[in-house]
Amino acid sequence: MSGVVIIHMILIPLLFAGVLYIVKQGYQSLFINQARAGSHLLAVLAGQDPRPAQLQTLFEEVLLSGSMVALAALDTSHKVIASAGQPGIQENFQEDFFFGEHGDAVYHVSVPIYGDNGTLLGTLRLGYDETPTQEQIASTEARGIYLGIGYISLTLFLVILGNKTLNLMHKRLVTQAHELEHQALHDTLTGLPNRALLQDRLQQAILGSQREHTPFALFLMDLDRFKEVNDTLGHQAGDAILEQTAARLCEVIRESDTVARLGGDEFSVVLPKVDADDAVLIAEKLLKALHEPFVVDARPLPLGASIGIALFPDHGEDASTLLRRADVAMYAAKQGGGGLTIYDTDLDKHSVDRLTLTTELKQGLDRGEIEVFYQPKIDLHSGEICGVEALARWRHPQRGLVLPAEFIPLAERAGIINALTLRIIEIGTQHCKELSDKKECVNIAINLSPLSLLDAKFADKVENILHHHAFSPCTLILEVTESTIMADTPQTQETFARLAAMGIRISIDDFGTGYSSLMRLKKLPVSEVKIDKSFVIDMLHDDNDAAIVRATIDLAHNLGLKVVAEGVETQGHLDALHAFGCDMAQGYHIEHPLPPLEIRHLLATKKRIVATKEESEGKPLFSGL
Amino acid sequence: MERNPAPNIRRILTSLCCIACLWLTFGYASAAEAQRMVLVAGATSYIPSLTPAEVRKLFLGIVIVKDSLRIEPLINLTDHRLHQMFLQKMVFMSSYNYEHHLVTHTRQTGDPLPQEYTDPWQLISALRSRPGSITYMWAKDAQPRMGLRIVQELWPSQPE
Repeated sequence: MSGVVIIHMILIPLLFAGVLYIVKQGYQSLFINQARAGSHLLAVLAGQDPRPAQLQTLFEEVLLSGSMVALAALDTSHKVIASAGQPGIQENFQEDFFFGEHGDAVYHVSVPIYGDNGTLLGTLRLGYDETPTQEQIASTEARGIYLGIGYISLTLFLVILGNKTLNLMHKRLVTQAHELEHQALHDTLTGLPNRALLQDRLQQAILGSQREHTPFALFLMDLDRFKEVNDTLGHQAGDAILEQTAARLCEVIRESDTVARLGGDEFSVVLPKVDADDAVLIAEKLLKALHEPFVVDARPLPLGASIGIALFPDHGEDASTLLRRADVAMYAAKQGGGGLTIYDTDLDKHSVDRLTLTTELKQGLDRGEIEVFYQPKIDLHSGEICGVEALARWRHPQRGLVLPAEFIPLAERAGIINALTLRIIEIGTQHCKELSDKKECVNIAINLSPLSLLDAKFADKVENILHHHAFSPCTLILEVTESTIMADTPQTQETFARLAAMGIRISIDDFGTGYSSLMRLKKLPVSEVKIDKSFVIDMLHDDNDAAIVRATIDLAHNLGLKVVAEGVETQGHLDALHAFGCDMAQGYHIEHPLPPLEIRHLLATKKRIVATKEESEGKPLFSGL
Repeated sequence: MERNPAPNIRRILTSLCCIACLWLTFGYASAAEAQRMVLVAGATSYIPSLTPAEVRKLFLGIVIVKDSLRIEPLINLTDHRLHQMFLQKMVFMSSYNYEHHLVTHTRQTGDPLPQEYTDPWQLISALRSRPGSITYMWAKDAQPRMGLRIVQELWPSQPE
């Protein structure tokens, strides 16, 4: 930068000055050459006819040319014999040999006049006007100076501007570098530290704890049902929930703690100088903060969270071990229905089991290890079986029958839930077709994953299955959760519309646990609602639950929907539901889920509920018949 | 021991005499001589007088032979004013045009450029060693005791 300034501010103006000097010398040289050559020619002319009258005429002619201001001819005795122009040139005559000499603006030249034979006749004294040349030089110098000043000004301006621009660019680059560094180490959505920064903070926490001999806790947490919300309400809603989660976590923890987002709905917290008791207290605070419903588009969404806790140095002395063990604990918490779990060595075994089970589930799906059990639903008006709910079972070669609560989450995590759903639909329709062939026509309800509704080809696949088994779509009921049906994504709407157009009925499962919009409910192609068992089970002891059940039944009927009550575990439930006007019921009091052969047998006997409360004695109504 | 002051006085006087002699030899010149410009050759040279036209031609690079002797012009640049006066009185050109003319002439004819001298002793040495060489000087500098001979007066002009 300084080199450029020196070149532009000093060297180039010096170059200007040099050029000006050369130009000035050129002008002066040209003038002197003209004066010397002209005086010689004039002397020659004067020598050819040296008569005073002729010289006078010659001088006056020359004077008219404008280059001379005075001329005089002197004889050998220095007497003036002819003159023109300014008088007195012969007086105090001082000859010039340099331009501007004597400072009188006249270049004086004295030239001998020789006759034809070479004799000296006299002397010519000539005065050339230097003014035009001086003006030319002055004009050129002025232009040069103006140009130089302009150049220096422009250079100064550009230097200042360039300096400012460079400073600005420097600031921008620094800002960008900071932003890039921040982006590299932080999550763009929540602004929380990312996995890379967490690793660093974790490492620092380990070093600090080793130095000060203090413990610290590492939390790993994820939101329950987040995937469902994200899949059904869209990523925008999911992002809003994640942002709210980050804000809530930051409100609870200390400034010295680190909250990081590891990806998806998975967060991590590093809590320096915290032992197991404190860790549990803080985890409970976090759970409480996350238990409050999230509000997205004025819609409350209760999610909850699962927290896994690993403690330094008890559960690991390096970052990767602590993270892995916190993950194991978190999974255990999730398996337990949420809440918090502190790592235990026994959990690791389950962690390995989980991985093994996921692999085996994929293989089992291909090997046909998935079976379908059926739980009957009865019509509360007629007491007859009016349909069944298909429930998946996995017949594991070594473990035996695995329940859906154990393997459905694995299927969702492994991304095979869609294939699993289609397999259940296929098996269910096949069984029901066999029953209908034997004149045992029955409705079959199958649970649907929210992910299936996002599959653009799902309706086509269902149609192919129904077509393949020549199964009537009007006997198929697909059950979806309340939050799924309330999702307003274009793909969900299209899938619903296509399924409804085929004649398939849609049932809202676990009704009452979510937040339904009645307006939306009215517009959707829903044919029935299933009251969540949590309300049914407690309705005999809790007036609020009873009121909810009754209101739900009335509401559904007013909307033209059928109502199914789940969780009927006693005769009291059955009687109450009958009294409320519920249409159908399902539960262990009526019958447990049965394998295909047994449900076929049950349907074949066309049994009807006739047993009374006293007769059932806590056993399923159909079991004694 | 006190030193005798006599030898010191003698030394000072001797020095003053030397300075006076040198001034008389090189520095003294009348006002008239200061304005006189002469054509000078070596003392042993027999170059005759030249007309102003011959002097002009000679210093413009044209070959002048006098008495079977080819005259060699030496350009005297020891005094800037003298050189300008010579150009004004004899050559009738500016110094730039004169140099340009010499270079052009040399390029056209292949003749060597007249030698230029900025050191007076080298100029005098050249004049003394080369009998055909000639240059211009102030009259005050063209002293016979320097081994020089005034060929003719150039300015002020004298009738022939």
